[in-house]
Amino acid sequence: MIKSFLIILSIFTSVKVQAENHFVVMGGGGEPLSNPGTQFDTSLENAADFYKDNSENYTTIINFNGGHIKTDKIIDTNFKGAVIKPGFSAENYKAIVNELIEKLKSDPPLIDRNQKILLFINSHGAEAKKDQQTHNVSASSSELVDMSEKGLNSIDLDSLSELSKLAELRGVKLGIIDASCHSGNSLSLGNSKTCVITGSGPNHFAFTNFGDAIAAALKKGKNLEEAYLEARKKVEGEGFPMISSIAGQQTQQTLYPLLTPYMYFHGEYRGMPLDKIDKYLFNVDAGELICKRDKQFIALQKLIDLAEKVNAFESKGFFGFKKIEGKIDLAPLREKLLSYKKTQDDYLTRIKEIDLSTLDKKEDIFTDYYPRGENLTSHKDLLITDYEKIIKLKKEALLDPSLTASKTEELKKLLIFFERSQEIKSELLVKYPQYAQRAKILEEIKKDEKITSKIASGITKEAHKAYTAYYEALSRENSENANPCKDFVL
Amino acid sequence: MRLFILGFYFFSATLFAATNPEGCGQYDINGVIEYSKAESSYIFVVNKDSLSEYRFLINLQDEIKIAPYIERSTKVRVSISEKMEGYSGKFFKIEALEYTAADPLLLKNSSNFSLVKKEKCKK
Repeated sequence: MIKSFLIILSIFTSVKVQAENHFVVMGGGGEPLSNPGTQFDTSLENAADFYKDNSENYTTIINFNGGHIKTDKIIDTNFKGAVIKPGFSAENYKAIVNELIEKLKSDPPLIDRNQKILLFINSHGAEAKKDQQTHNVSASSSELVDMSEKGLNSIDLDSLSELSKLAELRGVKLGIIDASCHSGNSLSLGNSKTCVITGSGPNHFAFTNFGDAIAAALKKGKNLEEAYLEARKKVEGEGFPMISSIAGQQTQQTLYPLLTPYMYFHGEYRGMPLDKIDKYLFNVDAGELICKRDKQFIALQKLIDLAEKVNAFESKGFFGFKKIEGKIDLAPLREKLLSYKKTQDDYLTRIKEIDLSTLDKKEDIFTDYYPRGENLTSHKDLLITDYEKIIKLKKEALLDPSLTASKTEELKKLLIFFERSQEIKSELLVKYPQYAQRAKILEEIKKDEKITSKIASGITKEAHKAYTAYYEALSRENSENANPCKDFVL
Repeated sequence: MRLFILGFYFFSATLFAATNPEGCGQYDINGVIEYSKAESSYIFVVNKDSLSEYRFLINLQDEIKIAPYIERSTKVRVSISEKMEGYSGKFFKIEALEYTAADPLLLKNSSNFSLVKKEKCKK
């Protein structure tokens, strides 16, 4: 008994005296269980390299994945000695964050100003909800610790706010890397002690290799700002990584809003439409948008000119001959932006000519069984509904010989209703030819090669040069100000 | 040693209540409406393709309401008045529906439950 107690005590105290820097790797959620691995596996392997080089200096917790054999193997093989909490679930996430908070709160604190906390989160990410400070990321769809647990399927990162504030209060350096889609809002967690790096802006996906690149860039002796800039240079795909340093925020606030429409595209992901460009082109007053866009585009071009100027400087060569050094070539960016703007403008001009003000108008659909006034359906809903498919399924269901009389009756009533709805839809398409025009434009956008992710990622790649030029210039201007990203040395 | 450390974390962790439909009442739920040939009916699928996939039968009376939302990411406000059988249940009534953004996070296999009002089960 005493022997057991001494063993437990020695383990506990040995845990306590280990380095109290913390490295937490979380994510890998939202992926189909039928896949052996996740699309976040490379970033996990790269994070493992940092772990192996620094395992003596960091207490490492891996809370990644849930139910993917290949990913589990990566964890088992590469994170020996780390604390593994299988299943990136809301419960596990909260337990880890609460543990860190408790360590910061304790008296004396179990993590003090000489130590660091680094969180690396890579999962699918959603746009922020209204009143949300950060955003949600996808949890694993199964809980491997307990198969009967049915937790939340997404995790609200707003809970990191308390950790960030406490870390600042205690003088502890905190680094948060959120490599997920729409992660830009997580920058709000930044403060004088907390550096935040995100995989993209708040309005865009992060379909890039940024998560892999930033994990690979984590090297002992480097600071988070250096790791970020190194990773950003290697980014391929659609996304706009961001950082919470002053220079980062100023650069992002300058460039991001103006570049935003040209980083939208139409695509598909696992059968689901990625239609930010559709929503952008259709959801606002096309006439008003055209005007606003032209002004914004002029502003963007001026910024591009300025980016070239701030990056160029004169130097004296031999015999006093002046030369311009450090010049960046943003001509490809200008060219791509002009081309994509024209494509979008062409669609906007056509949309502007379509009167879609009647989309919210309602039609009263009634039959002998569904009286007037009970089923008022908007034109928008009528157009979006695939009545042909519904009618086909109803007719098939009616062929089932095991149907009861009452169910047969119900199905017949519904069939008549949907057939009437289809008739009304057909009548609308004749009476309002603009609806067919709208449908035609939507179809064209889906197939237009000039609105694909390839175009958007081409612009993002060229825009990186402008970003870097601004970032470096603003870094020089803000060199006297606190920079928690520079202060966080790995 | 790893087992002990794991145990240490589990005992010290605070477990938050999951908002899965354990009882009857009014819920807001994210998922997708699909047709089930087996049931010859529309169903609401939550956590699609996951180990915690839920399937709720939709009443014929609500089919007119759901028609524009079929096969789209949707959030529903529903009344559940019968206890579930494992991961299968039935919507007593759909009060409201809204589209949710087509987003990798809100794909067919991603959802959540939110209890609006607890009620007594009828069965």
